[in-house]
Amino acid sequence: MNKTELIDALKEIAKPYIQDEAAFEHVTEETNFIDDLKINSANLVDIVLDTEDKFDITIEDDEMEQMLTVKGAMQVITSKLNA
Amino acid sequence: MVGNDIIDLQLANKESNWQRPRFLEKLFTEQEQDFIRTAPNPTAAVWTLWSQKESAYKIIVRLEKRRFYAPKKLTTTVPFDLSASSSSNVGQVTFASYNFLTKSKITDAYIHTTAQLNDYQSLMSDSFQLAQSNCAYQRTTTRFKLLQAYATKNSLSLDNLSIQKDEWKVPHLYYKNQRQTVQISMAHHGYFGGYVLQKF
Repeated sequence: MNKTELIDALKEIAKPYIQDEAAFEHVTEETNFIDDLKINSANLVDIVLDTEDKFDITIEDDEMEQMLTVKGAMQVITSKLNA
Repeated sequence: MVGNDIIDLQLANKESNWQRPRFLEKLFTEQEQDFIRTAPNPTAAVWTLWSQKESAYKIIVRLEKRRFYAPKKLTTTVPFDLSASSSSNVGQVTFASYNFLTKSKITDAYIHTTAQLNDYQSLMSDSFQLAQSNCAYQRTTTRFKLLQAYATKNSLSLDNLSIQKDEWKVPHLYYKNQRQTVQISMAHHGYFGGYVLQKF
C-alpha cells in the first residue's frame, strides 16, 4: 500500500467522525484529526479501533499516543504491516 | 493552572458507542473499567471519568507543551457517588508526577468538569445551555459568557477584553491587548458550554 492509498484509507476511516467538511477535502499527512478535522477526542478511539479492524492489527497504548495526526497513524500502520 | 471539559450527554450517546468492543479498554484503566461496569448509571460514569481526564489533559498540554493521546496514563480516583443528580463531585486525576483536583457538575443533560493543578484555589466557573449547537455559535457564546463574567467581576469594560489562542491552542485573556495572568479554559459540546477562570 503506497502513501496515497494509506491516506485514502484513513480518510475513509475518519469520515464518520469529522466535523469539518472543508478540511476533509484537503487531508494530507500533516492533517491533525482533532485540530483540523474537528474530531471529538472521544471519537479518536473509534478511529483507532476502526484502524485495527480494517488492517487487522492491534495498536498498543504507546502507539496510540501518536495517532493524533494522519502521519502518526500512517507510521503506526506501516510499522505493523511491515512487522 | 486550570482546564475544563463539558459533555452534552444526548450528543455523546449519539456520537459514541462506549459499549463497542475494546472501547473502554483503550481509554480506561482496569480500576476505572470496574467502576464503570458496576456503576448504577454506567453511561454517566463513562462520561464523568472521561471529562475528568480531558480537563486534566488540557492542563498537561500547558505544562508540557506537547500533545498526545494516552488516556490511560491519566488515572482517575473515583470515590464519588454518581447516582446523585445535579450534584458536585470532587475527584482526582494523576499523570506522571502531576496531581489534579477535579470537580464535576453532573446533571441529566450534561457533565461539566473543572480541573486544577495541585490544590483548590478560588475558581470562577459556569456552565450553561446554548441556543444553537453549531461551532461558531458555541465558540462565540462561550467566549462572550466568560468575558462578561470577568468584566463584571473586575468592573472592566467588555470592549477592552479579548481572548487569543497561542500556538498550543491554549486561550489567554487580554486587556487592552496586554496578556493577563488570569488562566482561562473554555469548553463546548452540543447544546452546552462552560468555562473556568483562575488567578495566580
